[in-house]
Amino acid sequence: MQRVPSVLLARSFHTTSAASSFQYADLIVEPSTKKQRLPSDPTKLGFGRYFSNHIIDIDWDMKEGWFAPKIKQFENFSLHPAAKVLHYAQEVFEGLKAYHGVDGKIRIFRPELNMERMRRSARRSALPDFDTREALLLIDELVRMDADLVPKTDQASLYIRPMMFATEPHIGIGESLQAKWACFSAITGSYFNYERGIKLLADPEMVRSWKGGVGQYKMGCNYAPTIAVGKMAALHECGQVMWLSGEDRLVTEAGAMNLFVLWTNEENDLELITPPTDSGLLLPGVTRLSVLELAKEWNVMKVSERNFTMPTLARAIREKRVHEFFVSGTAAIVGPVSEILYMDKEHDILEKLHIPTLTSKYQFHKRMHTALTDIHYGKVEKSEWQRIVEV
Amino acid sequence: MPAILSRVAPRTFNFVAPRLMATAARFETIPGEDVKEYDPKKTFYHRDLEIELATPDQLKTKPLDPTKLKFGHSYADYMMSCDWQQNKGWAQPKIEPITEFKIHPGAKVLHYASELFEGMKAYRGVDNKIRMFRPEMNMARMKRTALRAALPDFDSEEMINIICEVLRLDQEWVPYSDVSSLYIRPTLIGTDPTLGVGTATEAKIFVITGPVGAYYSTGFQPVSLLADSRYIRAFPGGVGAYKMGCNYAPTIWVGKEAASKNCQQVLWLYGENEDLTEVGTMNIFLFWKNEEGDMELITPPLSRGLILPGVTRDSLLQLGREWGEYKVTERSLNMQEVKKALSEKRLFEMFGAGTACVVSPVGKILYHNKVTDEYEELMIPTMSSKYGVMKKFYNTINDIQYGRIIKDGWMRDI
Repeated sequence: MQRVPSVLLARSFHTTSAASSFQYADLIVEPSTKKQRLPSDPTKLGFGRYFSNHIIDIDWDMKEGWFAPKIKQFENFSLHPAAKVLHYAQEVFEGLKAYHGVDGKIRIFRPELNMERMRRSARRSALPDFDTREALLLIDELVRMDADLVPKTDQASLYIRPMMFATEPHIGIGESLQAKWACFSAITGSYFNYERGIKLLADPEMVRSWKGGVGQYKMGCNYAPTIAVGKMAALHECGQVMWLSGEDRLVTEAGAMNLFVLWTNEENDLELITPPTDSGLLLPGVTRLSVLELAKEWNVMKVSERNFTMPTLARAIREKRVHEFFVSGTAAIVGPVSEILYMDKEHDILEKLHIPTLTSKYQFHKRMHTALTDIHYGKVEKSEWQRIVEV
Repeated sequence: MPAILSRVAPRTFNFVAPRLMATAARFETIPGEDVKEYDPKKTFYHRDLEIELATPDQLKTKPLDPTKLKFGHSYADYMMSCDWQQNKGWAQPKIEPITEFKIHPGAKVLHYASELFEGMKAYRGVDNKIRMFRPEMNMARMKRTALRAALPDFDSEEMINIICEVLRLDQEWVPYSDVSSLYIRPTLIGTDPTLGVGTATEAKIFVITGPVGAYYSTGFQPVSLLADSRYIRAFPGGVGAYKMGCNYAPTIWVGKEAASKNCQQVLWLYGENEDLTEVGTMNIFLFWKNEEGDMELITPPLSRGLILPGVTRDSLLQLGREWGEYKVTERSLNMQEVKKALSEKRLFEMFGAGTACVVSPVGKILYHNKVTDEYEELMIPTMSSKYGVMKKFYNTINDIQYGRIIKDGWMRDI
């Protein structure tokens, strides 16, 4: 557990001496004069609609390195119309959450994993590197300044969105000489319907990632192509798309989330299975990792990271060997899936696959959801997963 | 047209007549091209255009030698922009001095790459007339891309007419040179500030332009390509056939890898057979004697959605077929075929084709052999080819673009 001093250290208006990263010690704070107003009913918050008062804003330049970080009033960026981000999608982001615990403390869930992933995404995007620890200190400070906006309920949280993008106003395709690192937060309610379960559309003609691509990075470019596909799924009354990849229809992700299957496998073992990340086809989710680690700790079933195909999954569902299917992600935590609409034109398949997740006798997804939220809201201590922000 | 004139700022130019759409129609897949009724939900309108003229101090100094300009480093004085909202449709389009945007930090374009663009050029002909090269092809592609990116649709002709207005205002930025041109960059971005991954409810279309110099001031420069199937640009079921920003971000790092191996561009391969798809951001062409002994110009087909349907690509195919000097074929082509043809001395020319430089000769391929995990150097004899296929394309396209020869329906006068 990292304790952060609430007094700011010495600041400098010059670029940081350590050009390899921005430094918390150089932070310049310009408190906001505006105050966000929130709906009184936390269920009306939705996802990412109500932004908090402050933003971290740090510029980078190939020659000068990182400039002094600023926390200032949340306001619009000024961007040149030729900025590379607007043309070539040179952008990465992260999503993590701060929770107001039952003991009144504010906790951020495993933020170092997000920062490590952001650095990997940045590297693949030819954007500059930074220091995980410095970024975490800045995020602590941002949360501290907007601490009154972290919802005091276990039905909501403060969603934190770090981002980095290329700002150089030069429309040649290539490495950017300028970039911006920013981080803001949004008050987020519980918007996921856990009672009904979601429906997924599985259509191998719509592909999110491919071997040799960038599916394992949180780059903006992985999301743009999914928007129209999500609209198509909605036409079929499906809430999310289940992404298959390759000739053999490997199961990879659902929506913008990882996925888990609890089944009785062909060897007749009860097994929790999720596709592995070494294929490079899916995002190594923080919730995904946490689910795997908890499940292994509990030691009540076999836990596997293994590739499986859609035909294998479909057969298991038809043979009633699939007990639960759930998605995992920072926004939904753990969300039950009740149905997959499997459309494979090439193999002439159109089938509704019902999954008894909600009525499963194991109720594993519920147990997992409770275990994770208990950690989020400090009902259970797991200090290496809880970064406490001292207010 | 006079009624339209009264609604925009005064100027001294006349409108051009509506142009042929025949060439674009072949590509056009979006219905509803006939926008007859005034409906801002469907498009913005040239007649609504607002023009804010620059004050003298806002006008920038034009470069002295336009032939020395690097691509995308300087911009002309004006930009066009128009905002869109889901419930209201398009607002009034506007031309104003180029200025920074205010963008909400939560705007979809900055997180989920809700963005697409086009690239086209205006040329000052030898007769001093300014012309655009097949702009309706770019607009048709932009509309298809917008549909795929879940961004709003618009009318091609309205957009082209507005771009013409930008060019009239910035006409002095179109270089007085038959080796330089004014690059035009239409862009469409999702701007609404909500963090859910979903359809943008607000968007902005804008156009900036900038003069670009000669690519080949000292003659053709052959490029070296890195061909490594461990990196891919596009895949079936993806968006490789659309000019979405998301196709470019992953290529930047691979481009750096290529540069570290002294290659200027990446030759994008796809699949088990290592099919050639694109080169850098250009389409690829190959001129060879095929195994049946026919002289043949080959470019990979659009059918699998792995390739951007380039305007230059289409133009070269049309010209090649019109000339009838050799077989012109759109078919898949893999590295084994290339290597075999090279070893049998049947491969004469390989070149990229795109708006930026028309054609770009390939001199060398640094091929990563996935079986041996070693790099092989393949020398491509494009520069010493006696057939001059690439060169003829280059000269003909240039002659058309700079008004030395007339090709019906390809050039649009401003």
